[in-house]
Amino acid sequence: MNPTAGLDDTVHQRHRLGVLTIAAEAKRVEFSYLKSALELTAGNLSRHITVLEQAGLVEVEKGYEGKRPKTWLHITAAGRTALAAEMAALRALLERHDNL
Amino acid sequence: MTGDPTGLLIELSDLRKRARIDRHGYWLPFLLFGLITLGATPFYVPEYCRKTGACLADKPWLYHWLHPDGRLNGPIGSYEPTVAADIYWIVALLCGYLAVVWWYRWRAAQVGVETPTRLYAQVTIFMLVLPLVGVPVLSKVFFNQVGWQIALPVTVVAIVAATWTARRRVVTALAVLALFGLAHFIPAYPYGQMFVLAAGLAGLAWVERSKVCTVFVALFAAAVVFVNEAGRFDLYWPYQVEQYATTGLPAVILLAGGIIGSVRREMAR
Repeated sequence: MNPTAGLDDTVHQRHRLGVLTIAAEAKRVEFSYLKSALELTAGNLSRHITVLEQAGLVEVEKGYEGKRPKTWLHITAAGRTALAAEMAALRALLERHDNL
Repeated sequence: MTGDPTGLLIELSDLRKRARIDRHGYWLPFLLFGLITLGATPFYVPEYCRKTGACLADKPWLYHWLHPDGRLNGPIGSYEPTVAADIYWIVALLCGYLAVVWWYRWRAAQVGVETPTRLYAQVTIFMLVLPLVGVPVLSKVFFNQVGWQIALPVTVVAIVAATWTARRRVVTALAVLALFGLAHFIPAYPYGQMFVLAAGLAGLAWVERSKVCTVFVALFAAAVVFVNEAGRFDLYWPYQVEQYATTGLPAVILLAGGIIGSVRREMAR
């Protein structure tokens, strides 16, 4: 099977892949941390998170820290599986490229 | 972020490393538990019993409940630590556990990325509760009644059955069995409560995924085994320092790990 067949369009977008990679490393991650780490605008990041949330790959939790609103997200089991599959597909693609 | 697969994998790896470094917070639990271990020193003032033989008989019921099979001799020789030491450790370990869970939540609010502490919490609560309730009850009404030849296999089967639905059932069953066995050492060893710390910190090292944290937890665990088992091999500290050295050695390892972790965090900023 061609390794590109293992790439999921929802996950493969590089910023969404970045969101999932960071979220997989933690119990939960805050919106502004992702914005800073991925160097995205709030609007762009929101759109990516909405796509991931609609696909069931992350869950969003809104709350307050004192008077400041905070948005946390955490990766779901489906998100972890999709991320692992994406990384495996990327590595397979590289391996195939190196063997050419 | 780049588009080619090699660059993308490298950047994702960098993102993961950065998130991991940012969420690390093990240095504070190390410092806290180092101080808690040092704080136990006054509770180990030698109370020699060999001459009178009356020590065990004079102990309150709580002592006998917590140590159903008595204690083994450690590097501190043939005296029984007081029930005050037991109470100190129970209160300190419980407060330490709550402080660590609070610390990781507080730190997450500051940096924006939270370390999962569920494994640490599960291991610590298991190791705190089992010696308090499980070991005395199992020892009195189960192992002593039916004999270990029957009680042990039944316990193993019960643990395997209880962990059968876990995601990684073999690893979970083996870990619970190991913790169950370790929990039975706690009442028997003179510094057995340090096993609770070692097991909890091992859980913390697993979720922290930090080499420094793992190395210091391994050193601490080795020191805990040493201070508890040295007496079996007739290894004793010089009399003048034994009370301080047996708590001091593991405490210094934790404090060193905490200081080094804190310095590394400052350098990574």
